[in-house]
Amino acid sequence: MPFNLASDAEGDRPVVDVRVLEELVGSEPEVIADFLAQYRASARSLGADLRAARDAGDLAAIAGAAHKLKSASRAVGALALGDLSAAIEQAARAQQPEAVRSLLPSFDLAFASVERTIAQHLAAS
Amino acid sequence: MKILVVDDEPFALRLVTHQLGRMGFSDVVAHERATDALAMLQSDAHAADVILLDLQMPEMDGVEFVRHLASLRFPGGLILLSAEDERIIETVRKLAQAHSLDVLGALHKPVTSEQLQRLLGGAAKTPMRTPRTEAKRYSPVRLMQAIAGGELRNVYQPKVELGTGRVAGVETLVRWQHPEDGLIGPDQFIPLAEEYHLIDDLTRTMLVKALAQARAWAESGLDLHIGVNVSMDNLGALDFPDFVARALATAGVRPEMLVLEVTESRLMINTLAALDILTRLRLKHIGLSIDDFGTGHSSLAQLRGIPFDELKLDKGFVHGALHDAANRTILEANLGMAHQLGIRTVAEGVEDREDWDLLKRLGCQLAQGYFVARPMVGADLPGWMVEWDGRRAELVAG
Repeated sequence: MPFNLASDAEGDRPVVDVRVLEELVGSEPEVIADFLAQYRASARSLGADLRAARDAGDLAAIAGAAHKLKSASRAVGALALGDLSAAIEQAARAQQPEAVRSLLPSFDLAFASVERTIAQHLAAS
Repeated sequence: MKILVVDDEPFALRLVTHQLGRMGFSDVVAHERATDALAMLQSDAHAADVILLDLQMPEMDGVEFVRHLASLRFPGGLILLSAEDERIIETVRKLAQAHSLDVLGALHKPVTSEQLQRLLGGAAKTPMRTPRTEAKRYSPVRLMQAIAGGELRNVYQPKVELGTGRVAGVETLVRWQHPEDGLIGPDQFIPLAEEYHLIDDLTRTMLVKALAQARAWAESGLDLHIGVNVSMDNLGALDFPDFVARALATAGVRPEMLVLEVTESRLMINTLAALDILTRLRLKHIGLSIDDFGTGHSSLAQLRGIPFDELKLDKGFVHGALHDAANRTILEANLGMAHQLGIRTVAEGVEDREDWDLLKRLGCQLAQGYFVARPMVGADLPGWMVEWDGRRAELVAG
């Protein structure tokens, strides 16, 4: 089974649908692996920014980090994480700290599955 | 082609740079910091032919960057990228255009190579725009001579029915056939004509020629509405309705066949004289059209008091609307209201099959734009109609 078919909690969607990234950069395995590694580095740093902003209660910084994570995640096909980031961005911009807090557990979960899926892919390639 | 990419997110930056490389663009400079990119352009405005700009950057956002580009008079092309809402991208696009920057397009992230190719392919074909300062400026006296000496000539762009493909009429556009400089587009002399109050003479000259052309077509069996643009200056001259009526009588054209197109943004409907004149024109059964609708500040509801019978949707909302939810919503709302008011609708800027199919599906009545035909001299119209007849069946069936 190709790694990108590992599905998320909702069942149907792959955690990381690599076809999305292939559309953008082509299907050479080394290039894909390189971009996934790049994405992981970016995502880790943005995830850390987001958590720091949460701890500081800085909604604008939360929105900024979530925004970037949204677009990077959608580019690599991490669609569920992209959607959750979008929801957090929106809630933060709407000044709704309660809504942000309620989204964070799912976000952490999605983040962890993306990490795991990419790690598996990089190990396999 | 030298391309500059500005995005503060390293992953996004690498992704786009890689895509450009795969497409064969090797001369790509990427900057994470907007200030670095600006510093490079400040030392040499020609350091990039095209800039790909992300709008969301914390230290300097896209709007600010655009303002700096404008003050540098950046002569190259600009492509806006963002994961923001389409309406925001669209607003920045309009802002950049208002600053006279050459905006090649606005893309929602992640962008595909096809989208980039489409925009950059266009940029490669058109040479770098000459900065505005170098555009030749004509003196009002020279323009006056041109009007009096018959150097201005009319061209006509067809309007066709989306439902049947029937050619309903044409819009009259003007070109200046300058003896030394060649053919000059209206952008280079209409503002001058307006500034120096030559527009009334210019319009009247165009109108008389257009009516003579309409008469010639009618005699060869072509019954076409003829649209002529009028400005607020025309509508400020109280004798204008009588002038139009006399010109119609002289040419032997029925008033119903003439449509005067008034630009919405210049339409100061609160001036009583303009309303007076519009109403008198309408009473003479001359058609009235609101041009470039959507670019000004009026809504159809506000315009309900004016007896318009045609609404022309501005090309800025039409071309590419299939991929732009905000523009599509605007189109649908305006078309819906126009239908309720019983006003005929025309979409300007129908440039490809997608535009055509969308407007047809949305129930717009007429289409005008490069997809149908470019403006042409009057004598070429019958030949174009033969060619159009060959295309229309397939377009209408779809």
